[in-house]
Amino acid sequence: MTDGAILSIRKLARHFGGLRAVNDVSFDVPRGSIFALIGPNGSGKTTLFNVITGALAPTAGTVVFDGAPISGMPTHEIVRRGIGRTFQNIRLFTRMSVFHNVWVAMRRQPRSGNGARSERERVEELLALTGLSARRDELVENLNFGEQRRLETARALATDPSLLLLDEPAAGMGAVELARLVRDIRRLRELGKTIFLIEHTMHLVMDVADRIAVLNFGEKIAEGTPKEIQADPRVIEAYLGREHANA
Amino acid sequence: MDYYVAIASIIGIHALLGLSVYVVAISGQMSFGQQGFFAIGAYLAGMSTAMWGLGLVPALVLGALVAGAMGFVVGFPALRVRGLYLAIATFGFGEIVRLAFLNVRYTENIGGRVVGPNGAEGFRHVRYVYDRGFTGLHYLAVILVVLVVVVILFFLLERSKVGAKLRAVEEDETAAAMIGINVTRVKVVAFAAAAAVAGLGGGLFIHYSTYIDHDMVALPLAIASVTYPLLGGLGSFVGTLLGAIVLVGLTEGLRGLQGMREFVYGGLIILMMIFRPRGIVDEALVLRVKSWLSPRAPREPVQAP
Ligand SMILES: Nc1ncnc2c1ncn2[C@@H]1O[C@H](COP(=O)(O)OP(=O)(O)OP(=O)(O)O)[C@@H](O)[C@H]1O
Ligand SMILES: [Mg+2]
Repeated sequence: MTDGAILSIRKLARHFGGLRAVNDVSFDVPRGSIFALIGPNGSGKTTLFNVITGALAPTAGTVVFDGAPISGMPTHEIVRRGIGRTFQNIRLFTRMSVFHNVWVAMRRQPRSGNGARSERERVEELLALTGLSARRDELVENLNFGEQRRLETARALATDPSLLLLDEPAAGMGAVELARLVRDIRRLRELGKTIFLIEHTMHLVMDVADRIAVLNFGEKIAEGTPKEIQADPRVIEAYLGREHANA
Repeated sequence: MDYYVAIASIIGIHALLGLSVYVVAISGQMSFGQQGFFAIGAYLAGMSTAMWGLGLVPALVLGALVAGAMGFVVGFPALRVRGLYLAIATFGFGEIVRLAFLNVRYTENIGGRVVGPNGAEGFRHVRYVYDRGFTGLHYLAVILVVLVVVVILFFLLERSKVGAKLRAVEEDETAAAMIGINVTRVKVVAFAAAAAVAGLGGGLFIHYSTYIDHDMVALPLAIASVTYPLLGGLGSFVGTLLGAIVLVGLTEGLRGLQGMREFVYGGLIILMMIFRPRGIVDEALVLRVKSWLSPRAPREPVQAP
């Protein structure tokens, strides 16, 4: 493990029968960075998140988080060690209010005198951070798409993660929401979080990411700074079709 | 008068059974086996007072604890399966308990009466309460006190983070795990607590009726116990209480309905599934009532900073 890496993926593989959804993937996510994982549809990005968070067991390889191997641990244990995550297909608790979605996820703080903020105050803070204070008593179904994505982020932050995994946070967002997302991601990094995101929206990735890894058919085909990735012929080849489709 | 006392007593006891199913339901499971825990609680509490010389309160507590412990033991394997399979597995458990009591004989001759579980004869002469001069009305008060204690616990549960975690698990186990919830533990603990509540109801029942037999803890009781929460609603335990009051009141009150109880309950469940899947008192209704009760939050949207 490289010093300064919060997350190290080593020779990780996840197969589904004959399908090699993730195959022999290795990379490091530097602590305090914004790291992006890109790749065409079905290239194994979400599967990689599922393996990191313990939702799926790896077929081979290891995941090291904060210096300790976490592959094979149950999800709730991995969360307690400091990994939070949002889902590509939003998975909020739709029968709870906005407030309760965050409150239920709130990690218990060690009691630290009377200076400690109450749990409710900390929930309100997260709602304010994600711009949802005015919606606190709504049912989730009354939120628009962008608000639901932000609520998922607030809920993940409630577990007090040091590493936050975001699976396509910009999907379905308009220009205004996108600008807000960029601000939010940078803000979270300033708060000391490491951000690891999957994204299809190229200009967002090129704008916010410090480093990028590229998956294609389950294998890592490139890794580097946004500049390096933009110039990489293998990446251009893998993306040619999509770039035109997205233009 | 006695007639109304009897109906009220049955409502109180069945409300506990309904609450037992409710706890299981709001952690995302469906049980058709709570009558098995009810039976365990009834037999244990009955033996405690009629044969082992315990008082009523320790007998009820013992029945609830043993039923809860059984719930814990059964919970682990049962919770590996879901949905329909879980419903069948739990009903299978209920049937095993019923058949066990159909075959168990453990009797004593006390004052010329055969007391204790006696196979197909059932368990008769659990007269602790009435031998001490309690009337039906007195015992109704006992049932209501126990119910009130349980209701207070449910009230606290619904407001607590544990209650919210149960509902998180119910709605999405993957998302629940991803906020740090140990899903298996939550489900097993909920199942064990639910079993204890059913066992408590059983203990109250046998002292009310003075006897129980295997026929009384068969499929009809399973259907009744799931109907209360499913009709009353899964948004709050209040729904289950209302469900028990209305349904027991209806079927006991309207004599004509006696033979058709399962038919009526089954029909109501189907109607609910079509028109109001979370029951009468559903989450949206609870949220609306809460916002009426506390008009503190500003209604108009506030500009985000
Ligand atoms: N649980 C599963 N069982 C079987 N196959 C799966 C499973 N999860 C993912 N796959 C398959 O693995 C491959 C990679 O899927 P994955 O969801 O990781 O892609 P992705 O890179 O996230 O794609 P997208 O950009 O569309 O979200 C796909 O072919 C998918 O069908
Ligand atoms: Mg994906």
